[in-house]
Amino acid sequence: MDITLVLIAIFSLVGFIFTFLAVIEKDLPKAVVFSAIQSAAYAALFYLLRAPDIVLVYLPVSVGLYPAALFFLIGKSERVEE
Amino acid sequence: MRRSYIVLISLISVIFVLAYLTTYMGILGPISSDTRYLAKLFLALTYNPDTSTSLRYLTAMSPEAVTAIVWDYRGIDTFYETTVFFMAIVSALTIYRGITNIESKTQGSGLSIIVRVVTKLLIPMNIAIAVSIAVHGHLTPGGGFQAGAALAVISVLLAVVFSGYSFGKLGMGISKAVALRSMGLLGIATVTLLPLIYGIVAGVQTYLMQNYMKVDSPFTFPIYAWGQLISGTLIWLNLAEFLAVSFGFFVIFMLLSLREETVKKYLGVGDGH
Amino acid sequence: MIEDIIMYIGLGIVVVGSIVNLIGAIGIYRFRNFYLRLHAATVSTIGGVFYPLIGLALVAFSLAELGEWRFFMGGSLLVSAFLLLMLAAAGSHALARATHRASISRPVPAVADHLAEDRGG
Repeated sequence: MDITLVLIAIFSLVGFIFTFLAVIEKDLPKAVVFSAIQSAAYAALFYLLRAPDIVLVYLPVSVGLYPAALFFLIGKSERVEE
Repeated sequence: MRRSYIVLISLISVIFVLAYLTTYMGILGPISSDTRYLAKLFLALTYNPDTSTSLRYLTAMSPEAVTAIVWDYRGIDTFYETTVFFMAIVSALTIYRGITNIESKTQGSGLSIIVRVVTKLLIPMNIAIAVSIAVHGHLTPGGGFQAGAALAVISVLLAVVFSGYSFGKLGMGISKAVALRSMGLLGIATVTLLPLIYGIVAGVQTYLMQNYMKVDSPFTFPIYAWGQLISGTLIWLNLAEFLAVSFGFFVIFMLLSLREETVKKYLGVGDGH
Repeated sequence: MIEDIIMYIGLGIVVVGSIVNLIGAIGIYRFRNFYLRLHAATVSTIGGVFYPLIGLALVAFSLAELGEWRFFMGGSLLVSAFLLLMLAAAGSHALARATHRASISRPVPAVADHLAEDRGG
């Protein structure tokens, strides 16, 4: 079996589990960190699927900018989801 | 908590069943391992310096198929995406209207000296990577938006490590960032409209966002500069998009990193009034 | 001959790095409070990622059949190792400092807390 397919399966499973954790988490900073881990797994998936253009834009936006914007907004509002 | 684990495990097993059905039972039809015809067409046409055949009218003169599609074959589409991004930043500026420059008198706290020194070492590397992604956008994977997002990470680092008031100390006010972003948009508009102006002046037929000559239009942007492949419009559009996207993100993070009291004082609402 | 020696030195560094990684993992599992666990995590970041990257760079330099591409591979590995060396230290420092300032985790028993004394605590 091709090692790329195995890696794709592993990373998509990691991405799925962290998506689920981000959805059920009530503590919003933790949910943002789970979402960032999911995005890192997806970036690895895009790299394995040979889309390096998407990786280059997905890594800074989804791991750097988007969690930063969410953290700023959480800091201006409440930390725990009711 | 037990219930959520049951939900997670059942979802994962559904995924495995779907993957098994599509891969081994062939529900969606057989999976082709061959490269598709459209991909082969694009790969053959994006960099085609052979001027003997008529296929040269379809080339974008860029070895990077994605940038060629994004800025040449589907250029108007990307122009529309840039407009959407522009509108998002305009709406953010509308909410924070009246705040033109962050006052640098207030001393922000920021993080400790160790993190500051490491960040000062990292920022030049980040700038070098972003500029190389933008300038090599027509040769290697990357391009204007990717480079702009990579440079915008610096704004997050500055806001978090050196506090939001460091932008003012660096001489990077909101008005200056908006001006640089507008310069980028103006560059995109200029490159888009240059064939039109050339067509009116020289009296030949041209197209908007034209890069390489077409069958009925002899206009061509310079493909080589100083012996280097610059792929006509692609490098200029990438650089302009780089400016527009990176400073658009800079504006957003400058506004987001302001303290709430400062914003309320400027806007004249709430307790800070 | 010299390429073989460099390659085996590199592989040895990789093996040492994996052992340090195991020690770091045991430390994260066994240590009691946040700061000790952070220490174990940093041990496995520096010793378990930085040293193997250096070792892999040596292995890449020793592979003569790659031609000049081995310098690209080894150079990028060295740059990643340098970045990781800076970022892991700064990141763990920022985490520890933020945790101390927000007093989220208090080590028990705490022998001395000079940072809190300096702040006038």
